[in-house]
Amino acid sequence: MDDKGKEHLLPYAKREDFHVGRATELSGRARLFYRFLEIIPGLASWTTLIGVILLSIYAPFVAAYFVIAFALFWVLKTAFLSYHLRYNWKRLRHHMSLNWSEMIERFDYSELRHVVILPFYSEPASVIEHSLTALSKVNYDLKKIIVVLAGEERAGAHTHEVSQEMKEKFGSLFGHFVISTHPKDIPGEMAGKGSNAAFAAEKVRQEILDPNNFGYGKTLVSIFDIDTVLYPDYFNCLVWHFLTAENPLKSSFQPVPIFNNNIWEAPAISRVVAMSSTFWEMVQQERPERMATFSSHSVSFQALYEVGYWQTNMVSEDSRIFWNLLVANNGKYNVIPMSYPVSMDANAAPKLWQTIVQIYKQHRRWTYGVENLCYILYHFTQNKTIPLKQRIIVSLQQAEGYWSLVTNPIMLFILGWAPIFLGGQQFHQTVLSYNLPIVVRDLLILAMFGLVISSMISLTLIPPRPENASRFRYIVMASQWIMVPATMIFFSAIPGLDAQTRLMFGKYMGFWVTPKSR
Amino acid sequence: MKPQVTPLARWQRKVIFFTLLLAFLVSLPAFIFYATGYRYDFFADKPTITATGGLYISVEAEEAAIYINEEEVTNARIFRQASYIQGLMPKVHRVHVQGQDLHTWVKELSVVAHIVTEAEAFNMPVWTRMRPVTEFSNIRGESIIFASSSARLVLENATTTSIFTFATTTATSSYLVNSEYTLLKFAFTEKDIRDEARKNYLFSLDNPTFNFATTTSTSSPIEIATTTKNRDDLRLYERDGDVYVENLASENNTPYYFCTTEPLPEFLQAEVIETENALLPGSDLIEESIASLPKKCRTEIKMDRQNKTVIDFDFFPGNSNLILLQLEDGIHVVEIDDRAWQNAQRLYVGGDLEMLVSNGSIFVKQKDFMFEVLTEIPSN
Repeated sequence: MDDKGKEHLLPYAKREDFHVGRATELSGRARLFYRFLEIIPGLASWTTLIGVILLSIYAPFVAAYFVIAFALFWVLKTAFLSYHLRYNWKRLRHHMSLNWSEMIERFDYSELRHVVILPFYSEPASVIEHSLTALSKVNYDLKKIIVVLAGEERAGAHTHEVSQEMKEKFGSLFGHFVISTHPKDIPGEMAGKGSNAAFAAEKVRQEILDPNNFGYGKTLVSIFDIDTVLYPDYFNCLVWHFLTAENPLKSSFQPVPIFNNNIWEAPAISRVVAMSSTFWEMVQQERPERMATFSSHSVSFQALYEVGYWQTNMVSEDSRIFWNLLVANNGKYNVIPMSYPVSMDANAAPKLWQTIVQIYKQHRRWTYGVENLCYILYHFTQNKTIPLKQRIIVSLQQAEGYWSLVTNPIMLFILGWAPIFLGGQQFHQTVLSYNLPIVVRDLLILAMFGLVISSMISLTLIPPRPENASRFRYIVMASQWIMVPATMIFFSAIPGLDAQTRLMFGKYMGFWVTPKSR
Repeated sequence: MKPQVTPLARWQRKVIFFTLLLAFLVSLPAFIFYATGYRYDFFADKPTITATGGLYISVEAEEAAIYINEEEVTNARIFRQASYIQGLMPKVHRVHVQGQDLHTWVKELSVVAHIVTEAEAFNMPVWTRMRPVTEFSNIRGESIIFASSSARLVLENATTTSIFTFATTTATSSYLVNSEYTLLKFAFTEKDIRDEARKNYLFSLDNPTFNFATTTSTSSPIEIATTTKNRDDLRLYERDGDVYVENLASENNTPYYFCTTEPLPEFLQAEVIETENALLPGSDLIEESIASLPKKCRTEIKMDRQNKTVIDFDFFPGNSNLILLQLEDGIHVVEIDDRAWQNAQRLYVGGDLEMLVSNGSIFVKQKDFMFEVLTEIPSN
């Protein structure tokens, strides 16, 4: 193997297939195997859904028992997740009340540097300015912060104009302010956040870190979506977690993304979907062994450098970087939940239908993260250094996650009624047939109590009410959670199934940039 | 303030997980037993688990109340017009549905364990309500009834909320012609012709006479066929003075009242009891038991004509379980469902009538007066 230019990479990261994005990038048996893995998620989901229908037709009694068991499982799962959510909510609020500056006083962190990468495409200057303004107000020595405004050449003059405008406004506040313009049409790259961020990271290494002798192990990279608004103690909190981590260079640091920048302007459906995503991340914060990095997160530059930065040839680079790191470090890599928030935009367009389309596309992109499952399974068969138990557990957890994401809402809210309609006359005359909808309905109502918790928590996470918004909006915001069954189907299950089906048929997706408007 | 920066402890998560897992394992059989009809009687002298069945009663009238074994059923409606009563012991239950100013529907229905017995109750108004269809109306939209018509006779047997005016003269120049009357009159005339043709045809069958091969029959097969009424997969016809309903649907689509489900055979009963006692999730057994229920289906049901002569018959509009029978004393609504007995409720009393079902409505012509019979009492 030619290791020229790969000396800095970890041994496993030097493999030609380490950064595989899709089956077509491989050859021979590896390609066939990877293609098989791409088919598996969609096949499993479709088999499950069709299986429930067939079961309802040919074995309605079994299907009815399964539906009852599944509804009961859902109630208990809701209770389980609600417990985690409530715990994290308490922890999140506690973290926001802590004086993190004082907490890190006992450490010597003077040599720590922070690289903040802000990839953007065609987002308006106001969005970028808002994020940079918040960044400039953090309770941290701004001179220790290197801001990289990473634009795209394909966005044309907009990139240059906005970058210059921001540099003029904010350049003098930070230690360094780097403008990076990712060239378009680099062979082998997919236009997207990953390729942009990787280019920016290498640029900052060459232009700032190396000339200034900033140690890679003492440089923390925070990659933020361009609409990310930081809370004042983000870097203090990050430093505390970094310095108290068992193995800080083998860890990523995950804040809680709260999509509330524009929550008072966003339509109800958007608010529910956005808060649901936040809640999911909050639940995951309490079970870090199941976590992968998502959206805005932080990681040491050294860790990134050792795996060649973010992948440039796939969609969900924010999670993939974690799997790259896990595989390259032979399983000895983890995510540390910070339980500290960063604010981002809820998906909102000028018109409701545009918002709906945007949410669908955004969630299809997120759920296309199922491509990571293929990557994990593939490399788990290649890297035998990773303990077998870890490989099995992680594989099952991830597989179950993607499978349940797609199948559970559809089975629960739609196919739960299938035995009644498809079960035939013999089944229809039974007590079981009549009781099935009653039992399932009652169980789902019980599960809805979990939404009451969600509703209450959501109200505590929203920013102060603007003057032009009436108090009545609080009632709307509390009652909007009734839409959850619908949003689970239309913005979770169906886009997920869409994404898995595309992958199954080799219709690979590109990176779709969520439009931002304020 | 002491920092609380670690995630939920593993042991704590395990406790929650295993507690919920235990809850799942314990409650799942309970839910399945409940859903399949098993009930535990806490208040019995000897508390036991018993397999129960259910009743699904469709009730058209909103104000009607359902009673089972003389006890009113409450909170059982799952749809506006249907009630599902569960947890009933397997035996014969007397069900009656009643409401103010409505005929009472009564039936004895056999409830079988694990099975829901369906029934469709109907409650016609005790006092016939009608809407006159007159030839003329005035500019205020009021129906004009001539004093010479037989309307007074009708109004002795029925009430109406329609506004009408008795005309003392037969002058019609200031009135508006009612097109509904014209159409209805035409329809009744056509029906008369068909009925006459049918009578001639039936007479010719009973009294065959010599005819040349080229002789054209006075009654076409189409005209004769109108004496047989079809709706959905049901056929209504007359034979030897009786009216029958024939099921034309496939076995899977046969209406429930054509079939009876007998109690479980002894050998299966023993198995079910064994299951109950063992308190095991005997899902397969229940399934097998139900599959083995001997189901008897007939192809035709004879309608109860109460030993009276049938003058005319038709399907009740919008309901395939009910038949309109015009007997010598008036028009009756009779249910096809003959489990226990067929409920019959008088819709309109009187002789010398003609009945016509058209566009979902029941019209009656009594002598020269035509009116629509209303079968629902308007809700308050």
